[in-house]
Amino acid sequence: MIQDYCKLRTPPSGHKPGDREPCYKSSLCAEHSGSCSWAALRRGVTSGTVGCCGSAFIARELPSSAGLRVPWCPAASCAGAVSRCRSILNAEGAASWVELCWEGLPSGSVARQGKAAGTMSRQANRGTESKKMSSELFTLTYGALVTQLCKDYENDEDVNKQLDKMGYNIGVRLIEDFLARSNVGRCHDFRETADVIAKVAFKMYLGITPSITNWSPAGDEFSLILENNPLVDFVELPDNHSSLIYSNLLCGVLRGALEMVQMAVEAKFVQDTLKGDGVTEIRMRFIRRIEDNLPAGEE
Amino acid sequence: MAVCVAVIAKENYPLYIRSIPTENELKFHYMVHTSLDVVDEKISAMGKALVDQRELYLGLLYPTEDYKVYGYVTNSKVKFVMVVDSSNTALRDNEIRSMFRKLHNSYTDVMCNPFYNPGDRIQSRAFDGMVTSMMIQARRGKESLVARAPGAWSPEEAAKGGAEDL
Repeated sequence: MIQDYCKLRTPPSGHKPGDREPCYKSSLCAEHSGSCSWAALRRGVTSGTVGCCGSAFIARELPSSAGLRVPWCPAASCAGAVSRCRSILNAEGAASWVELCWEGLPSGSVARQGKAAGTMSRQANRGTESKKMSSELFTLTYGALVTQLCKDYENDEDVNKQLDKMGYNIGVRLIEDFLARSNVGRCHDFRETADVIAKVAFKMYLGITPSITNWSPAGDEFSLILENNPLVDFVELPDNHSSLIYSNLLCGVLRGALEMVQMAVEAKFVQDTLKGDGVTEIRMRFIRRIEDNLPAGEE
Repeated sequence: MAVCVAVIAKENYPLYIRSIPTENELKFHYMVHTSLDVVDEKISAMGKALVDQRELYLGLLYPTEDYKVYGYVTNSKVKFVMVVDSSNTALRDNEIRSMFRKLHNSYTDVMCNPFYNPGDRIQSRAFDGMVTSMMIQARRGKESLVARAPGAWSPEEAAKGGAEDL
């Protein structure tokens, strides 16, 4: 049974010393204090294992918590609520999960209902060592990749094709991660697909939200407009590579990912900031729905 | 404000040099070249102390009757040299420092370009634009701007010490 005891209140009557103490943060915690990391913290333990998912926790002091140290579940799929780890809730098939809001911590119950499955939200207070990486390293890595391909192939068209193939291989794998993390359902039409790509996928992986414009009358073509493309920070195309499509990897990723959800599409760049245009525009065209169950091969 | 801006590599050859009045170009090249000695002197003088205490901005390297030359060294021994007009007395130290910081930031952006090989001449349009903005504020006389690849001074000549032509 889950009891809710605000740590500022006294334990309920009938609680005798020596009883297993209920957890003080426990509108969320199903554990008794023996295994609850909150209680461990109160005892002065600064690290250990979390009762919920068995991951190791560390004690972290948050600026909003006025010196109170809180246990932080570092499990990647965890909402941060050490005591009700999301990975456990998902395994139980829960339709919603609670997210611990760390504001106003010392004064009592801080749980609030999290969003239902379908939206992805990483809590803002998450420690930076968990999964963040410098975007500069990412940009420089992609740049090194493209320049090495240019040296290897010496012909812009070949480089474009290779980038597309590499993107395709990334896309067929990335779609699984995307579907697992975002929990979006099946799209009913191409417009919904476009929305999901722009608002969820690009946001999740590149941190940008392109806009969708220029729908064709038949509803099977649209344009994604990216104001700033993180792949091309600091890049200036030299004159001898004027026909190189630098970000062609993105087209391949889109093509590969959609092919794994039974949609054959074509993606190509029609405007590129590297070539002098104001924005970067990717034109996506729906070709057909893939009905046969041939396994998608690797190129 | 600046009349001439130069970026010198670690091996003391120019990566970028640009000056405004076209007729005196060679004179500016010579001034930048001679200022490198002063830069080296300043680095070695400060180098006796701990390396962290060495500031990047070197300050006024030497004044002539018409011009003043300022220097800035990065930790990777890339030097920026700026020649300003002496008549422009309104320029304060802070402004020169901020100009060097802008130069340094633009230089870093150029380095991050994957198509740029370190050691090549800088041909980036963004860098050119930034230098133009630094130089164009001073000259209301509208002399034509010349961005000249440093042909009078090539790495081979510098290696042979062929400075006597200047």
